[in-house]
Parts: sequence; structure tokens; C-alpha cells
Amino acid sequence: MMNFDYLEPKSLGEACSLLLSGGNGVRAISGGTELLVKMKRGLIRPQRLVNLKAISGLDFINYRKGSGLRIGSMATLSDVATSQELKGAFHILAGAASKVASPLIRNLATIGGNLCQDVRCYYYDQSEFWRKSIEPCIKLGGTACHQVKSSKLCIAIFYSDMAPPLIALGARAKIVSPDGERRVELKDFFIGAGDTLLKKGELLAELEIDDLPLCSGSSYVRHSLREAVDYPLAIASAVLTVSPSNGRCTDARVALGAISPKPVRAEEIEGLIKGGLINDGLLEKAAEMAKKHVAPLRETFCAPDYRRELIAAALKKAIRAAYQNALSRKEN
Amino acid sequence: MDAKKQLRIKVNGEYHELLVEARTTLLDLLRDQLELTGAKRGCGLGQCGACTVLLNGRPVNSCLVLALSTKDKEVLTIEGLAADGTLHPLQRAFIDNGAIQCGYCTCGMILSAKALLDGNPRPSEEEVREAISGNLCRCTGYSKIVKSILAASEG
Repeated sequence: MMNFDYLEPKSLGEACSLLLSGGNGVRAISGGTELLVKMKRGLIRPQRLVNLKAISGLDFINYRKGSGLRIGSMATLSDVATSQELKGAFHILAGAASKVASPLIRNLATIGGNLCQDVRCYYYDQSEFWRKSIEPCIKLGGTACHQVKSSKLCIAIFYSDMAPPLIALGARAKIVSPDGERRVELKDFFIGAGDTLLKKGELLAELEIDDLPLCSGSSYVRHSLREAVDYPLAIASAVLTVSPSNGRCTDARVALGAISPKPVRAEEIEGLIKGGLINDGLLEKAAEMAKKHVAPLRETFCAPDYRRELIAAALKKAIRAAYQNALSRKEN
Repeated sequence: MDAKKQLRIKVNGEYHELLVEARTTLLDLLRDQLELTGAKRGCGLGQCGACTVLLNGRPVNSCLVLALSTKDKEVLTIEGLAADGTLHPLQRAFIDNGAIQCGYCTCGMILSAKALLDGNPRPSEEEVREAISGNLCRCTGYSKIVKSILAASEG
């Protein structure tokens, strides 16, 4: 890859200023497990990298009863996967983190980086040599989309493992900039085409998750081709709250991932299951709703039809599991 | 742009002072500047694990670590494993159990296994397979590698 300037800021404030003042050629690096691969493939050529891992104190994972869970954006996926702070319904975050890539990658990759990752596409994530045989796509500044010929926008799929369970848990993103800080619901953080709400000079600093009501259960279901290394093909994550008296679902958050340009907060599925008991008929209806969110893109080894079957299966399993977990808390 | 920066790096217990470009990965530095060729260039993309080294005791793909980011950290390569010329139990077990064919994945496998055993001295077979899931082997089919790691763990 081409050479670049390398900077190690001492604080978030300094990092934000470096990103704001650095023009278009400056990028933040955290784990480097995505960024360096893209640089080696010639997909991006930054002139300056700002190493966020040089800032101490951003890798915390803390739970406090009453205030909830706080996770620093520089916590590695290994740290999240093994954290003793992620108990009860929050344990799905450890489960999700433990499935990403490989132990080697997880020791470097950060939760913030996983959320801010780019979209992926068979026609984009290739070496320069490979891409010479096709026209530059929209993402590369060209006009072609090799997935959907008539598309004028990049509609590549967003594969983050951590986004769906965090969205299902109702997480907020704390964003810092030279002007201060702001918070957004994580479900609104993603725009598509690999973009987020982060403006130039802003950084994702922390994730905030409130305590869940009693009698709440969570789940995370991931399908992929192989047990390790592979990106997911379909993710479903659910958090359900049930009434302690009759076991009916009083609240639900359902998030789907790895099937569309941004993670889906499936509000129509939530509306379907709230107020009732979870039964097979309801789950089949919910599964059909989930299929509608699958983008019709070609992926190696997985046609869109099969991906629809995967998300349907994942969604049913996720709702059943979250419901059972919620009911078991009701009994305690 | 600064062409090269000063880096003080600790590898296998020894400090080295080197001039390094920002784009130099830890793998490049180990192989090309320190001539520690145990870590291999398999894919350069963090997929094969042939470049595995321990960074502060944790196994990582050295092809995805910028060398300049390793200051104040300790690196352990396969060359640092045999203390005073005595093979580490893992190395002994790999040889005794025939777990090495072409040898390309071996250094990475052993270091991933060492990191596992350092934290979990008696792992299950499933835990062993999970620990080496980032290290690909095209020759052996993994069974003798897993057997060797389990054998070393009982020692």
C-alpha cells in the first residue's frame, strides 16, 4: 500500500480535531482489520491515519444497576466476548462478538469499528487486479452497479454482527466532536452505502444501553456458511418483555442484519407480536415479513432465495428464544 | 509526509531500535528487518493466520498490525518460544504427533495454541478447535494439530 502519515492522538478531542482539519485524505484507524485490507486492495488511499487506539480509557465495559451498560468504542471484540459485565439479557452482546471472524481478528477489532464498518460486495472487495476486468462501480466513483444494473445508488449489504443485538437492546451512540457531544439512537446511526450519521470530525465514543424491564429476554441468531472466519449471511436479534401475570408479550424490539444496506429495526414484526402469546402461526407470519427485507444481491455461495429462508429461520428462532428467556425470568 | 519514523520495539524479550515507514506492518518488520521469518505471508488480509504472533500475549494477524502501533508492547514470535534451545511442549507435541506437513501454518498454529494454553491449561477439544479457527491448514486436515495441542495440554 502507499505510504501515509501516522498520528497518535492523546485524547478524543485531539483525534476529532485531526480528523476535522485533515481534509479528505485523513482517516481514523482502530483495529485496522477492515481499513488495512481496503488499503492493501487499493480501495482507499488515505494520506494520513489517526490511530484511535492510542487514546487510553476508551475500551471500558461497565455495568451499573440503575444506569445500565456503558461500552467504550475501542473495546476489542475479544474483550466484549469474554466480559463478565455482560450478564442476563446483555449476554447476547458477548455471544455476537464471539462469532465475528476469528480469535485473531477479534483481538484487534473494536466494537466501534464493527459498527462503523463499510458495506461489502463481491464486486467491490477485491484486489485492484481483479477489479481491472470490470467497470468501476458507484462506490468507486463510477456509474456501474454490478449487482443491480439499473441502480443509481450503492445498495451493498451491511454485515455488522454487533449492530442488530445493540439495536434490539435499544442502544444509544454517544458521538463526540470538537463542539461537544450528542447522542443518537443506534437504529438511526446507519445510512447505507457504508455511511453513518458521523459528520467530519466526529467520532463514536461510547454505547449506552439502559437496564431492561424485569421479565425481559434476549436472543441473537446468526447463520453463516462456516463456523468461523465467514461474514454472516443472516442475523436476527430480539428483546422481548412479557407480563408477569399472563406471559403475554408487552414489548418487543426485533433487529435483522446482514441482509440489507443497513440493519433493520423490524417494527412491523414488533407490532405483530406485541400484546399476544407467541405461537407457531404468529411466527410464520413474522418470518414472511422478515423475508421482505432481504436485498436481492448475489453473494458467493448464497442466492437471495436461500438468504430469505435463512432470515426466516433466524427470525423464528430469535423470537422463540427471547420469549423463552423472558418467561423464565417471569418465573424467578 | 515523514518517510520513516523511529520505533523501539520489544520482540522475544529484546529491544530493537528501527526506522520504519508508517505503512510497514508488523509482519513486514519481523520478516524483512529483523529476519524472523517464522511468521509467514499467507494472504496479507487477516484470513489465513500464517502470520500469527503474540502481541502482549494475545494472538493477532501481524499482517494487519501497523508496526508503529506496537511501541510499548511485547511481541512473541515462534523464534522466541524455545527457551535456551529446549523445545516448548507444544513444539515437541507437534513433532511427536506428526502435525507438520509443509510447515507453513505451523508457526501460527503453535502460537495460537500457546495463547490458549496460557489462559486455559486444560481445554476441551472444542475449545482447541475454536482457538485455532483463525489458522488455516491446507495439508493436514487439522486432526493431528488438535491432537498435539491436547497432548501438550496434559503435560
